[in-house]
Amino acid sequence: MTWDWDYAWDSVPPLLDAFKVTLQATVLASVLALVLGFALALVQRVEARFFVARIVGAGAEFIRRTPGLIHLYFLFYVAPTLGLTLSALTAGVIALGVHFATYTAESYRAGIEAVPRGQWDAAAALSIPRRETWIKVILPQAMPPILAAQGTWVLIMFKGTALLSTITVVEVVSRSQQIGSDHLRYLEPTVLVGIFFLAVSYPASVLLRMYERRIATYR
Amino acid sequence: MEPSTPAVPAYAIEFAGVAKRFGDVSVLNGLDLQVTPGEKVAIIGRSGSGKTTMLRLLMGLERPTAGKVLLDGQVVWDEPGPLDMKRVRAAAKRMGFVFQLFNLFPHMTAIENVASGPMYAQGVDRRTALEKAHGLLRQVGLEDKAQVYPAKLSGGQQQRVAIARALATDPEVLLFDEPTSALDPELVGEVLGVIADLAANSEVTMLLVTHEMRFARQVADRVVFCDQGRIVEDGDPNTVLTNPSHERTRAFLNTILHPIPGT
Amino acid sequence: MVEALLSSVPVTVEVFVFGALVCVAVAVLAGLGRLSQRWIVRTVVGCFIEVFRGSNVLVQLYIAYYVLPVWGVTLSPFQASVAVLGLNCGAYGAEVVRGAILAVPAGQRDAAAALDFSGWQTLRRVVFPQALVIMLPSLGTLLIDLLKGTAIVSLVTLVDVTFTAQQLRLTGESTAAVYGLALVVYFVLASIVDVAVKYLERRLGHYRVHDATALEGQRAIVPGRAVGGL
Repeated sequence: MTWDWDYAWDSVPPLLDAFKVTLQATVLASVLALVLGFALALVQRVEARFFVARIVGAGAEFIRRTPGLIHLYFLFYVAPTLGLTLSALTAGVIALGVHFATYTAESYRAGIEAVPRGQWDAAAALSIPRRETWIKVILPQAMPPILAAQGTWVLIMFKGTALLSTITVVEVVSRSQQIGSDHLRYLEPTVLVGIFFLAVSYPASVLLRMYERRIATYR
Repeated sequence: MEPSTPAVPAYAIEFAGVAKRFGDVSVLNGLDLQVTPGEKVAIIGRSGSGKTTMLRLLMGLERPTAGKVLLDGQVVWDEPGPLDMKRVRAAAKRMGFVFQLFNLFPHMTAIENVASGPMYAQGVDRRTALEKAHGLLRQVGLEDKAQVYPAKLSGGQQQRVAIARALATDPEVLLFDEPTSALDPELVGEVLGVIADLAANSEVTMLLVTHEMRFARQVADRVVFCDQGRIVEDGDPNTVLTNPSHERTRAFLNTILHPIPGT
Repeated sequence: MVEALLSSVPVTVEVFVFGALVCVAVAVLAGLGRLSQRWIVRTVVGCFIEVFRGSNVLVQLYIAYYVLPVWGVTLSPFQASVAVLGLNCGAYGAEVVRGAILAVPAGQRDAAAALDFSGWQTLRRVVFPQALVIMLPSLGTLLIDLLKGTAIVSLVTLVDVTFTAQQLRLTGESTAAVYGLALVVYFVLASIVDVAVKYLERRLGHYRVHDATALEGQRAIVPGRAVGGL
């Protein structure tokens, strides 16, 4: 079977349409993951000695060790039995956002901890107050690598939105399979979707790497 | 008829017009040096004067930009010219190298480090290699540390293991790259002792890059002073270290011997 | 319900184990390929890595399962799953291997050269044993991601834990219980992988002084080293 250009070309507009949903899900899930992840990191740092932090830490570890696909199913199929009906997109965004919040939290934490202990000591030796130490000394050093790391998570979430197709969200992968089954021909739409993802991911990852290289030269 | 010159090469090591640049930085500038077999030569000079680069070129760890390097009359480098790694490797086989930062293999015990060259490069069987390594560890006074990993050894002990490792392949030439400058002062003595012992009791040709002037005087047959990528002064230790003819040598020795002005 | 779910564990484990074998083999080959002196090798391997990391694993699976047959390559669901998960994981692993090899200090290579080790001896006796210890923490994260990633094989009809959970839900079992149990199963499997990798870290990294602390410090979760976290 050879590549059918006409068919491929006709598939592009509906795929682009569905791609908007993919991007929408990516943005929403990213915002949730970045904000919730920050909160998680904060709780684990500030409350480090307390019980709450242990529970939160264990919960995050549990989420990191279990498949996102099942989190998706869990939220989508279990929530209604508890009287909480979420739209497929909402359930998907929440599941994805929470799943990745446990990862972004680690990146926040790792970024802060990567600042050498000596920086805190030096700030203390100069009697710089704690608040200023954070703002003027620690964060300026920690932020660039944290940004780079979170950027990579956003890219991974972008690819992860494909899973939303399994809970009836009509994003780009789901749309491609619909087109395929309508015409009994999966080749073109499926390959096109692969190219769509590549077309966004690759340039983005090149930009991220450039950013990483730029901040690396500061050190 | 004039008698023809003998075929036996007079020099163990020879640098002829060697230059080395790293990008825009010129490290060696037409360096010339001859070392006769069995000679112990100390190389002194400021940091960045190209001393370490000399050793690394000889060992084949760097490629010169121009000039010739010969080992025992055989060409190691002849630049610019086609790259011939075979002769570089052939030369490297005949030399041992002691690094400033030891470069022991952290995942091997002391004795495995010493035996690694014979075992992995020369194809000597494990038992023979370990036996020999044992003897060498005894020679550097670390017989009891044979089964210890480098991380558990002091810097001085690590460097002594590294010296034993360099000796294990029976080199004709030993190169020391500031072997004590990464050590705490109280550990310098034990390493210098091992090297002095070696210098006194073996026929091996030795090139020592060092900052220890007293040691250079005690161990070396000859001291050369390297400055801006060239040999500026060359002679017996007493002359070079106490009565140098060159102004730059004098200035250098002055800063070394009297690091704080006015003392 | 519990029995039904547990009876599908071997399928998940099989996909994981074979996928992991493919993953590690691909990661080592591609990681070394990225460091090759020949530009052609670097470029080809680089393209492989970018394509597999840049597009997404679900689409790759659909291509392997639905599209390849039209080109005459018919893979069973199991083969397609193992191949896609393994290659995808390997593409991420390549960067882990490459990074670990570069993290071995240059002095180690100098010392090996000074002792006249061949290129292969240097790699096998000096660089790789140390690189392995450096890469193990990231490799552990990667393998756990691979395990989680196996859930998608349920979408190409393999009867794994996830597929069975879906079936049980359709037969009217309590959804919360079904998915809760499935989560526990994956958590236990992932924890086994984690413990095994940590054991290896201790075994292979025994020569370092500050074992525990040094390794913990490196256990930062670095994205881009993960298959996708899902």
